[in-house]
Amino acid sequence: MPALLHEPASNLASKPTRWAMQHLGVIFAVLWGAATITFVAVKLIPGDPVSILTGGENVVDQAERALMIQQYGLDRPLVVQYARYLGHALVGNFGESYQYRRPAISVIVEAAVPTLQLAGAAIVLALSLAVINALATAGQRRGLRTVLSGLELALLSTPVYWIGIVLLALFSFRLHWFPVTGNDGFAALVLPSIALGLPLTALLSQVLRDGLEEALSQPFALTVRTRGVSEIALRVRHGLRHAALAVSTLTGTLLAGVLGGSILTETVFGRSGIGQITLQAIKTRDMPLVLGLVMMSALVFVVINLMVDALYLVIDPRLRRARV
Amino acid sequence: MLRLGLSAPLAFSSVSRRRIQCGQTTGLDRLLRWFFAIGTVALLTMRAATGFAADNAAAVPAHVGGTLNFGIATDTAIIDPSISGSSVTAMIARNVVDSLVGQAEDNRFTPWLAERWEANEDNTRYVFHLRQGVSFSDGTPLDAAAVKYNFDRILDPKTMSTYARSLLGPVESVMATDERTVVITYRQPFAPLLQGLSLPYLGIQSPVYLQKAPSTTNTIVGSGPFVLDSFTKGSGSRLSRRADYNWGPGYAAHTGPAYLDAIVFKYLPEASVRLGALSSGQLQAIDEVPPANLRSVEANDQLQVVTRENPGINYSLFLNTSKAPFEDVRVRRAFQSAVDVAAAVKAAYFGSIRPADNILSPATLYYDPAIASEWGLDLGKANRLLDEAGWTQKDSAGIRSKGGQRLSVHLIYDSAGGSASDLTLVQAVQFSVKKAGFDLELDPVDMGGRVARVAANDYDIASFYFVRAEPDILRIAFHSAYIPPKGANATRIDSLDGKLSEAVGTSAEARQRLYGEVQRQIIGQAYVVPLYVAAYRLAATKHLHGISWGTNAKPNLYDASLAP
Repeated sequence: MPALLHEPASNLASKPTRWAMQHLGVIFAVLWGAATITFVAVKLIPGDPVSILTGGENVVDQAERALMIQQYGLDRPLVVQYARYLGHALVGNFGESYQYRRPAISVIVEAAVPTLQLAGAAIVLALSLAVINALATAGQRRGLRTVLSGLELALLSTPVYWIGIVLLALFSFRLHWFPVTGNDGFAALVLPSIALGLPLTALLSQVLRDGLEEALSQPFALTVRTRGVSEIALRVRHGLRHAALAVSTLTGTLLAGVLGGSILTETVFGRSGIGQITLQAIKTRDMPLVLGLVMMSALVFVVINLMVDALYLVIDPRLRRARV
Repeated sequence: MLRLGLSAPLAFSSVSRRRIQCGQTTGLDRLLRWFFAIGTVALLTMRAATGFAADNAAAVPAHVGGTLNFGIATDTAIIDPSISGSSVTAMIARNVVDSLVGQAEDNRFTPWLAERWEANEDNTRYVFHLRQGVSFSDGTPLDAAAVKYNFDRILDPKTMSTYARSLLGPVESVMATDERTVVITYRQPFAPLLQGLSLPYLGIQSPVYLQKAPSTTNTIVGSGPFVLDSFTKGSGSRLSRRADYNWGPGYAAHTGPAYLDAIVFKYLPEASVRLGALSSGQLQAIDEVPPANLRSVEANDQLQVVTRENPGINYSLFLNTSKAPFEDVRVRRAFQSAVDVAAAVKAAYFGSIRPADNILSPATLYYDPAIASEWGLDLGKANRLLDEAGWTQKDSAGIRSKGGQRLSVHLIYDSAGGSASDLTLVQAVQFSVKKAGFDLELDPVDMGGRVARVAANDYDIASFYFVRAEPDILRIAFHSAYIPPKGANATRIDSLDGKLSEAVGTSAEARQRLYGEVQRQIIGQAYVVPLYVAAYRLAATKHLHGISWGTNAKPNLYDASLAP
């Protein structure tokens, strides 16, 4: 990629370069902050990882314990540990997970695949349902709109956990349409993504409908109508574009939240993923893994926000003009 | 025709086993074994060709084929049993690795990979004679060098085996004296070896695989009746049958390959989901049936519930003897006498498990049933002892004090990892001991918080249980070498060191006597208040037959079959 940055600077190319450098700086600052806070937090909560790992059903002698402490570098001063973690993290090496005994990064990548599938499916589902819902009901005062917005409120205030169990009880245990568990293919993804997606649908619908209604009450809507454009075309081509700004911001934030919040869904449906290993990592004070997970989520969060920023320019031509 | 063909080798097999256990190998014996092996191979070929179901010696005819979907409540981080102490790892790995010896449900040892063995008088030298013709699923032959490689790997501190290494004990050397003979020698007498060897943690894995694999955390290659196809953290494991398996443990009900085609362990932490999946037929078996749901499962005529009590140390309250007030034996005895164990266990577990009557559970070797009558609820005794010990003042709530010091004791419990029933249990204990004037405070902590508090000696009571059929487990919980942070001796006593150390290596008679004395002393000195006999509870479809139990109270699936 650096090759791209050093291309002869025309007026158009240098701006994105500066823009990218600026944002790269932001990314680094966020990651460094996240890593530092995580390190301090994990060191502050009581319980050392070696005692946790060697407790319970495990029995180890002193020599083994000493070796573990040494292997994990826990015998060194905190400052040295901090510096080592940061130095290694810079090159994407978070060290070996204490409990999984594999490089933290490979544990994370392995778990990220099913979580991304789940989160992606839930977001796509939520966005499509919300768009249809908002287009159909914006501006209408009674009937369908009342029923749907009531339903939205109910869904918003229902825990994902419970939605998951109800969906399972109905569609899996009673009707046998979908398998209960596992990461086996599309069929196993349907119920978890609905469970995770429904509350999002509700939230996005409300925001999108508000945006649409506001857009439809603007003078330009009247102008468009007078040109004889159909109601559907007005809503899809003009109204939606206005409402999309708020929704894109929200979706970005939600996706980051969904990645972290997938733990409940993963627990109910017995899916492997980031949520499960995050919980385990914190329980066992698995510093390399916790650090890796936090850095990854911070990175995802920053990247998504940058993408949303970029998306603004696509959605709203006025912003493009303002920049130039 | 087929049945005849099968029953003949089975008969031979039992004859040859009995001889093997006597430690004799005659020419006839060898001949019989060969005959048996050939017979089984022939039978396998026939079975594979015709697809007929074979009958085993048990009353229920076993059906060959089918996939057992097994919902489990707990996940494991590492599937390699030699570097994990997890009981879930052990349950899954049991199907994939074989052990040198087997241990039957009645605690007797049977041949397995070793067809016979000898130990010297003072338990410092063991000789194992391996069975011939055993291979790992990667084709590597299982010989003495393979066994040596496995044990050397576990003994190497760099392997960080955490549990398996402790089962091997103070080994001096492991030698492969010829292709089929393994000799293990000890620095100090060590009697618990056979029991340790029978557990999956010391199961034998392919040395070729172990040398090649960069990491063994997600894979196992063993010689067992099933092959591990995949293990996914947070999701489960898939196992498929090995068609050429022919060296099952001596305690098994049949010989030859396993009956099930495949086993799928599915990790489902949510109890209602496990139950729903079982009753809707998506799973054929689940573990950890919540006590509150037990009735409804039992009432379902499609389902069966099987409960297996753990051997080892019962779920108990361990009283910290290193500081006041429990440094005073009278206060400890008063506390022990004030706990209404039966009522507390009933309140928490609805009669689904038994209250404990001793530090060891009945399934443990050398469990002494006579201890039960030596302690129990006696409020009068509790009050008398506390008066004697000087805790005579009482406040308006009925809590005693002495010299301005309230009789307050702190119990730390894992609020995240422990079950809801265990919390109900300690709340019932809290209610019970208050009648004698104890203020029992329950301090919720997480796993790390618990470890930190125990290590810092900042507790009066800790609670846990240990699963092991071998009474040497008492050493881990009561020897001063394991006082926290070095180990699990939460009572912090050193008064049993002599007996526990002696009992590790001495003769069977002496061990029985010593462990009897240790049990009597643990209860008599009120180091603990045993609460319940922890149990593994399996719920399954009635079509599932032939489940047997390992001495770690986990189901063995080698003999299991699913009727259509």
